[in-house]
Amino acid sequence: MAVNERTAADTDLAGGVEDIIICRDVHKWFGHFHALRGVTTTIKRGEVVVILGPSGSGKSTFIRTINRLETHQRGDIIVDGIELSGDVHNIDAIRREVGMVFQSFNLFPHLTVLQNITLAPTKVRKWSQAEAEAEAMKQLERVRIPEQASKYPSELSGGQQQRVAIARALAMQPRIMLFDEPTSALDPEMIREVLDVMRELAGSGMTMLAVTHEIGFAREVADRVIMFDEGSIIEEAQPDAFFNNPQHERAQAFLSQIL
Amino acid sequence: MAAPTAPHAGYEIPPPRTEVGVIGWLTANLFSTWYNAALTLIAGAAIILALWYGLSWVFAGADWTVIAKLGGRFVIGQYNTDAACAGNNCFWRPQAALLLVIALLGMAWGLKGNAVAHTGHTLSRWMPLGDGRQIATVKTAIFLLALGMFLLTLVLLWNTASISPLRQAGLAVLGVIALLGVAWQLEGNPVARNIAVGVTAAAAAFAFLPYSMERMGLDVRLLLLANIPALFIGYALARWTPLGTGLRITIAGVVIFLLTLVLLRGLPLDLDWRLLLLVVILAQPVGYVLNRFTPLGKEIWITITVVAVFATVLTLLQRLGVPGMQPVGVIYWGGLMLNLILAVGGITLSLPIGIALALGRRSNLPVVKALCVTFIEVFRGVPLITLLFMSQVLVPLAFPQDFPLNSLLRAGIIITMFSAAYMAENIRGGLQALHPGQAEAARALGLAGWQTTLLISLPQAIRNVIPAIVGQFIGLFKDTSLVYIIAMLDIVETGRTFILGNPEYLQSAREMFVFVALVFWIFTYGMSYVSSKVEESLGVGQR
Repeated sequence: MAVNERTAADTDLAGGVEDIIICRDVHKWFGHFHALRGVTTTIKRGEVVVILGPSGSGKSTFIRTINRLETHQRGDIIVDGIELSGDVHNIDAIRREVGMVFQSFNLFPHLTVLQNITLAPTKVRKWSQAEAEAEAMKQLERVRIPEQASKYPSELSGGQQQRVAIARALAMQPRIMLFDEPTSALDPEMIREVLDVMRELAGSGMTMLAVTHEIGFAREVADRVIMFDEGSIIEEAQPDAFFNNPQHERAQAFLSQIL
Repeated sequence: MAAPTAPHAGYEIPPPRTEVGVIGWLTANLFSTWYNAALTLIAGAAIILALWYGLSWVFAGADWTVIAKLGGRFVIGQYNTDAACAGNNCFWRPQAALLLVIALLGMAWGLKGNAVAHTGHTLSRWMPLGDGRQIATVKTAIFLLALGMFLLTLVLLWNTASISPLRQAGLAVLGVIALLGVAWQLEGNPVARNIAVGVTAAAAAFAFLPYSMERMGLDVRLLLLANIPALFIGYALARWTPLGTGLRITIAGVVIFLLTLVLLRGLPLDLDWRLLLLVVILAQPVGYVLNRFTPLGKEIWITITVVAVFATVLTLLQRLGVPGMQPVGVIYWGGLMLNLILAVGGITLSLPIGIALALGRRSNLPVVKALCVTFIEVFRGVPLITLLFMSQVLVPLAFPQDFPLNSLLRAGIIITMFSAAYMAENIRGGLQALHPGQAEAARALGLAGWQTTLLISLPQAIRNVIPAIVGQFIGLFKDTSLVYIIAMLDIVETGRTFILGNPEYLQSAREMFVFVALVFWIFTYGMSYVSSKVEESLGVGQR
């Protein structure tokens, strides 16, 4: 099946050093508010990057510009060799390759879990219903809730809903996964089940960008930590270096508050 | 803290008598405080008084002969009068239209809901039957019994001349019970079944009724009775042919609505362009069905073939001197039929138009948005009655002078547009209530904008505003009465003009209005019933 070949190819490439996301001097304004002020960074294939920062620092806005849920007004963003511009075909192409998980899950309440997952593969990738359902069940098993397939989202716990949201994004066979505070709306015992899934995903070689306050996850799983403040990157480092010896004074202040 | 005075702590003890049972219910709901008790007593007295006077008027004071006298005119207005149809032989046309509608209802009923499991469940709960085979045997027995009773009543009906009215009434009851018995054995969409069986039972009751016997010929009665096989034919079509999907039945509904209009209007066999246009329009769904469900090839060729066959048949009939159906002008269409035609047309069209307007109003394109806002505000800002008046003057301005736009169409357009403007605002409310994350998630998955709207936003928005939409439908149905202002005789106006024209019935105006109100209520309650069932099946309020 074509689906499996693709996954295998991704895993092979994951070991490489190819740059999958390139951001050069990205600026974003909301009206008069300057939300992103010249963000420049590069994400490698297979890299797991955790983005930290106080609220309002632009970290969510930043990852939302990567699949163009927000448009940037200056600078370049190149995702998997495709430049993000106003071109609708480019946007659609990038959204097919980039999966996203939201803080508030955003499952579709009028569809069952299975329908939530098969919707995009059948409508966007044009897979047959049977193919899409097989893939959906595979992903549900991956997030360990295959038995919930025929339920509606409201019948699930928050942690289960977020895992369905992850499965829904994964069913599209993305090359990059974006996580926008995936555990912020969850109770502590549910945070763990979601983080376990994310850990497994990172281990599989997926390129991941996660905005999160889970320091434990960042220390253990991330290849790199990026610290945002007032719309720009103030520090980029490996987790050990970042948490033990932050260079920037605002990074130090931030860490002293949350650690 | 465990008090020593509570030896039963942790054990279950029955609740006090004031909390459960009849006394508990009365205490909680009617006599919870002294002022609630006072309100209960006053309201109870008022209800008893109202019922006493109301019912004594219904059963003793009122003279219902005016209803019998008007009879079928409530349903078709002046359709079969001398002015409308020379020779008074057009009566079969509304009846045939009714047959088609009943068959459609049967199809909706035959559509598989989750009723199969439901019926089995109910059966095993109410009857001490063991396995499926016993249940099947009992069901078959009841089915045969009911069918036999129905055939018996049919045979007896054939020799009605010698039967007393009382016996006839008994027959009517027997026939309806038989029908219900047959219907009970069949499974399918339960909501559609209740409505379908209700309507056909009414038709059967009318067919058998001795009331105003002398004015209802055997032919009329048999046509009414034919609704029963029509219902079951529709059911069978949906159940055991490939016709039984929601989409196909919807298409059938549109075709049947158009056919109804053609039937009522009449079809003179002179092939002018209007007729051809009609044939072409009707050929589309036929071509679609043939293309979709038969191995006959491309839709366009089938459509062309169908048009050619229609045209040839019509020409042949014309050459052979077949007169065709005598046209009946729309100004003679009346009664409940008129209300229903306007309501069905208006409801079917105002929903999609309203959705389009709502989406247009939320559009980022300034011209589209401005047009939609203007449309909505203009149609919402003017009373319907004024719009209907203006339709006689203004709507023709929007069309070429010789365009065949009759008063029924004009009224239909106005009612549809008026309702669509309100519908648009209902839908917009539903769209605004959606969490923006829903559309974001859909876009992030790569769904295109139109896919997001059609698959994610609209289904949720519409689901959330079903009560408002159905309220709008009910309002539209009742508003169809306003066409009296442009001299169309709907059910209310039919009754009113009859009473004004026959002074001996002036005393009976109350009875007439009460009857008409009851008819309206039955239909609007039906709509509420369907809406609540739809909400239930969609799990509104639960997920």
